[in-house]
Amino acid sequence: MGEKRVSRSLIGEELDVKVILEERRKADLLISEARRKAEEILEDARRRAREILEQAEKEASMLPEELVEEERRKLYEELSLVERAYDEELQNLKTALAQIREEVKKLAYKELYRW
Amino acid sequence: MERRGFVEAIIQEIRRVAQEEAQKILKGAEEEARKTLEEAKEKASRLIEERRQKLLEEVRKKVLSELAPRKLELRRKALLGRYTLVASEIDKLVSEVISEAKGDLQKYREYLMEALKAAVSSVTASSLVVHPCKGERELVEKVVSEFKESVGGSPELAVGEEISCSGGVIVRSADGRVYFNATLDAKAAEIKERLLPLVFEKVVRRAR
Repeated sequence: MGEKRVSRSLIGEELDVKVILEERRKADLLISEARRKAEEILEDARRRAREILEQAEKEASMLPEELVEEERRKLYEELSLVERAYDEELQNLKTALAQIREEVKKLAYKELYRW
Repeated sequence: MERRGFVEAIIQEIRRVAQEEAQKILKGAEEEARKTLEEAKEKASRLIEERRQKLLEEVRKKVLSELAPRKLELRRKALLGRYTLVASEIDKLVSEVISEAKGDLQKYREYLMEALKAAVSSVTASSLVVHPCKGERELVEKVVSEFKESVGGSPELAVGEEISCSGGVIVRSADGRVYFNATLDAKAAEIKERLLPLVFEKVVRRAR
């Protein structure tokens, strides 16, 4: 009777070890699956990053026409401003000349009799 | 029963730890992936911005070189415009002054007297000939005689033949080697030349 109990206990323990080892194997599998997926995620990110940079290279190699036009427009506008400033300056000069007309006339008289 | 419970607890623990580890691995990978993409986007926008600035600079240089002759032309026109405006105003004023002086006998005689004084002190000769403009001989003779009275007999002054001019006189040495131009035309040119820089300075200062 005593022998029977011992053998049953040994078989039971052997079964428990097997169950635990099986669980351990499944856990390793789960982790290595997670690692594989993580590698996939990283690889995908690296691929997308490369695509983003390639696209940027393409975009950067040519200037959009509207930017060129905008720059051209700005520079032409600056030229018009210069032109307007010159016109304004001429108007101011006319006004200033009108203001000093009598003074200049006196000077001219003075010069007429000065040798 | 007790042993089975213990084994079950170990199994649950193994599962929990494994799941936690797997979650951690995935979460770490997602975070790293997010960073990689973010960095790539930042690098991409920097790249685009830098290259575009460079290209824009080239465009700017090209347009500026296209505009340079026009800018220069504008500047030239502006300077010419300023000069023409001031010079024509001075022309008008001087003509007005000359015409007023010519139209007023007292002023004109005064002009002729001053002109003779200047001629005598400029032309070193013992004998001078005063040439009046056409139609002014009589007036010039009177002024010359008045002048002689005021300065005495030296140098000797004679009124020569009339010349074609619109007022004033030309005084020359008797040998014709030296002469002094006191015609109103010459005087007008001289006044304009003297006034131009003066008036320019005044108006430019005021116009600012």
